[in-house]
Amino acid sequence: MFDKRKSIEIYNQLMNGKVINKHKILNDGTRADNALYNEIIENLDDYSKQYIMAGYEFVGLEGLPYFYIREAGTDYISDLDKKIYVLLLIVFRYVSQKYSMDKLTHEAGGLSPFDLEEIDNDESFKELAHKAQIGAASISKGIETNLVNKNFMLAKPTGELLLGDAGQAFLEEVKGIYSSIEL
Amino acid sequence: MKIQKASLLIKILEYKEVFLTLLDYVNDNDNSNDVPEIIYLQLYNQFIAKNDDAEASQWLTLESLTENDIFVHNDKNAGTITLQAFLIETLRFVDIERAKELSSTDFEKIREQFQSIWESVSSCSGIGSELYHELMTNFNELLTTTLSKIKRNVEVLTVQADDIASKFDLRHDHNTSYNANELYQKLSSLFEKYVYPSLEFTNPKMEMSGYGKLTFVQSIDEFIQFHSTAPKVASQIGYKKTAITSFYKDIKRVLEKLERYYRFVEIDRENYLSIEKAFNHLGQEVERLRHGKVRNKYLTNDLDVLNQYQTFKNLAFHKSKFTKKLTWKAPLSAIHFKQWFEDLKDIQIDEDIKYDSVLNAPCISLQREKEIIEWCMSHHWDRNVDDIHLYIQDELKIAFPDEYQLTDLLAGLESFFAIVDNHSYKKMPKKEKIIEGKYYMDYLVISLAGGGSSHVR
Repeated sequence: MFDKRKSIEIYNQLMNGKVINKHKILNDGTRADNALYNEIIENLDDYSKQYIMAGYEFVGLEGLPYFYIREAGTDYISDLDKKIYVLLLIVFRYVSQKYSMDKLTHEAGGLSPFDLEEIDNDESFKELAHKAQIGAASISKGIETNLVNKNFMLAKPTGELLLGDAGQAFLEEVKGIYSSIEL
Repeated sequence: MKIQKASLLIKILEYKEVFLTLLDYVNDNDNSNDVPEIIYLQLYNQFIAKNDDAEASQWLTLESLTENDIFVHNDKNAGTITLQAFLIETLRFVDIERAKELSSTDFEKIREQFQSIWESVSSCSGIGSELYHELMTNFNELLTTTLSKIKRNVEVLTVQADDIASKFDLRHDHNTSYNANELYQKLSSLFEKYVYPSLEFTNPKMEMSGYGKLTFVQSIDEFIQFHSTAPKVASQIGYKKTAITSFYKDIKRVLEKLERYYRFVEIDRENYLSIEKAFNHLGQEVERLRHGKVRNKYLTNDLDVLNQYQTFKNLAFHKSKFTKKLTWKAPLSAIHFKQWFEDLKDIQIDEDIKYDSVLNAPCISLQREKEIIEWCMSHHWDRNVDDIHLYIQDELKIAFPDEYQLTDLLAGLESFFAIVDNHSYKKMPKKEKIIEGKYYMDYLVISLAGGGSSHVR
């Protein structure tokens, strides 16, 4: 049986264009199962039917470590997608130049305020953010609005940002596509 | 001013940081022993001239060091000084971290030297000749030098491996810079230029070599074989050979250590390169915009570089749209069919029938009329009825459930009014319509109130 309180929270998150990750970050900075994700998994038929009958496509049924909804039959890139993809690529580029990519996934790592400041000061990142119409006052603000608020990045209690499951999935997709492509 | 070499060397070592900086320059610049004069002059002013050490200020000037062959040449035109080779070696000996590994070229030179001496020894008149003694002196000297070089080389490689290890450890410190690509390049270079040649050189079982070439081990074995009649000399050579080849295991350990890091660094580097390519791919689109090659000013959503990604698509703030929720744009599915089927049940289907007056209906058969009359006569009717037409219709439908028609009602009414006292019923100014099958009947409502025949209750 579904949990009414959780279903309301799930509805609010999905309708606000957020993804629901399999894991969340606890107060001690470690990752743990996300109760909202588990709620969906335990009542998968109910939730998927609810959104499908409301005209949405319930994405994640095929075993992804995250769920989100989109209007049925509209698998094209939205403005929000563009901003998220570009911001994630900016974050990936910054980290890969200076650190191991584990910084974005390991619990001991995370993007610090210092890193965000460095990203804000990078001219090539600024130009890219401008061309992608991120629209925020700074790239770090854009990261907060589009990546953290949408659950692609999760904030540790100490403030550092780690990739959520959806963000990690994108990192893996980028590595998969470009490991075999010569530009 | 000529200065005693030993005292000058002691003074140089006293200010070794200055000279190690020169060594760093040599190491970073293809190992030619030339250093720009200005570098030394700056170091001299910064670290030597400012001290109260008058001896150092005098002895370590550019002119003094040139005069005393520490700098073997001072090219005024190029503005460079050339450092004495032994000074370089001494500094490298002093600081192991600045020592250079033996490269494949170095090993090849040593190998060639051994082969050359062996060819001379094998072609000389025999053990005991003057030439033989001269060659063996060279041989023993070369063997000792090689031993010390190899030993030194192992130390240097160990330091290099430790350096790689400490750089790799930065990988786990997420706040310190770690560049997988640089580390990978350094590891690859260390493997190819230094570690593998070292292993090859010291491998006691190494038998492969170029055409007409003897490996170091093969050359030594030839010497041992040559001295089979002089076992003391042969065993002395054998001990030295064993001492050199025993470093094979040490180098193997360094190799194994480096290989462990290599596997991780290789994965990190692949990640680095993939992200570099992904970012540059996006950068190409930005560049097209930058030079006005396309109409748009901004990156558009239809770009292939964005549409290739499948992690998520069409995320949006749905609450703001207020669109019709049931759009049915999704591909057809069982859910659609079920919903359609449910919807169908709720739809009332109204057939487009033109009704006709019951007066135009075919006349009832006599047999049917007789049945109805008989039924009416035998039926017990209520004494109080609001609408006689509806009442009789309901009773007839009960009595003749499968075959009732609107014409039956006409026969029923005729019989009913025949058996009911006309004072008992009352006509109402209210018009009603009964539809049954394809026929209708308009009538004024007649009610019944008490009295009537014996058949009426």
